[in-house]
Amino acid sequence: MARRSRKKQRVPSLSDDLIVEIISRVPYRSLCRFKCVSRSWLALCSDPDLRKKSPQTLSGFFCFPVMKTTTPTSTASGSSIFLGEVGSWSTPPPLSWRAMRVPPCSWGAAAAFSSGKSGDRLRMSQSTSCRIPRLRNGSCCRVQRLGTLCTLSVWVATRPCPPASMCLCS
Amino acid sequence: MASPAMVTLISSDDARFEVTEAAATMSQTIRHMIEDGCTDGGIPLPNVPARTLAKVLEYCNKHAAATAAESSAAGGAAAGSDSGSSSSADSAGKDDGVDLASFDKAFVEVDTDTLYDLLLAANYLDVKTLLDLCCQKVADMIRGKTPEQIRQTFGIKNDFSPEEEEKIRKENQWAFE
Repeated sequence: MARRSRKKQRVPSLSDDLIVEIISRVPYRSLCRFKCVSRSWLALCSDPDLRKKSPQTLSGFFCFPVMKTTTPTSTASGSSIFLGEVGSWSTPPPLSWRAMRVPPCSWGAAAAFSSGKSGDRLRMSQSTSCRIPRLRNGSCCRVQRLGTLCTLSVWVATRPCPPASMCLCS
Repeated sequence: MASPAMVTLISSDDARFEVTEAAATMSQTIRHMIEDGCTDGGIPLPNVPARTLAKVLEYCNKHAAATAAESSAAGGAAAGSDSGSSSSADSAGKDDGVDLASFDKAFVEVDTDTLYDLLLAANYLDVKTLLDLCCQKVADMIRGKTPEQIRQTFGIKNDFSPEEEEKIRKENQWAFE
């Protein structure tokens, strides 16, 4: 009846299927880090279908255009776009988070950001796109929810961030 | 009230568990066995020890009961407020969904060995929601880990050459910052 006593932590032997089930639920950032684990993990983590398995756990965020620039007017709206999973980001992402650029292609579902006469738009797929509201002058660093596209929450951080230390893109 | 159909499950270490068919058939594996009429004398589950099976059945009983309650009526004043959660959201009507969610959360608050046992059992028994729950829990455990910690956790050999590893690391540098 007594189970083997285990001095060392047990190492579970998981099939590739189970590993895929698990890593499809980690944030995108972790997934990219896990590519360095081994050859087989690199293959599993690089599978473009992986994110489709659990779209609601799609995570990570990126920031367009760069707020790091000292001239906030370098872009049409000065918006920063954050994408995150719906569940975890029902409240705005914390300001202390570092914004980072992720090549849109690594998201599988291409998210394209475009600036145009009618304002900035974020396109998630061929059919869904949403307009990014223009920022009022002098608005301070505020993160607001723009809406939900596909399974992503879209957040807009308005600029400028008053104290440099608060800047999302430091 | 008619007594519900019961089935007997037999763990790998020969412990017998009597459960409702509704709870047992949350496992697709068991459902198929019942459909195939392999229930005489109990259903043997040679891959699941009693300790794990008891835990899995605790989950299935809870969820099967919740499903039954949901379909029979939209909530007849649940008696017994023995939920020890100290959350401030104690509104008058107790939401089954919330109740079940907190049950799930507490259910996987176990040591890692038990969690792996549950994960493997849920996979073998094919209890989809439990498998989801366990996978999410393991995912939450490993999300902050470094590649080296992942190798230790899962006993994986680093089969990259130093150059290859360096290259992949460079390509994903942002994820390490």
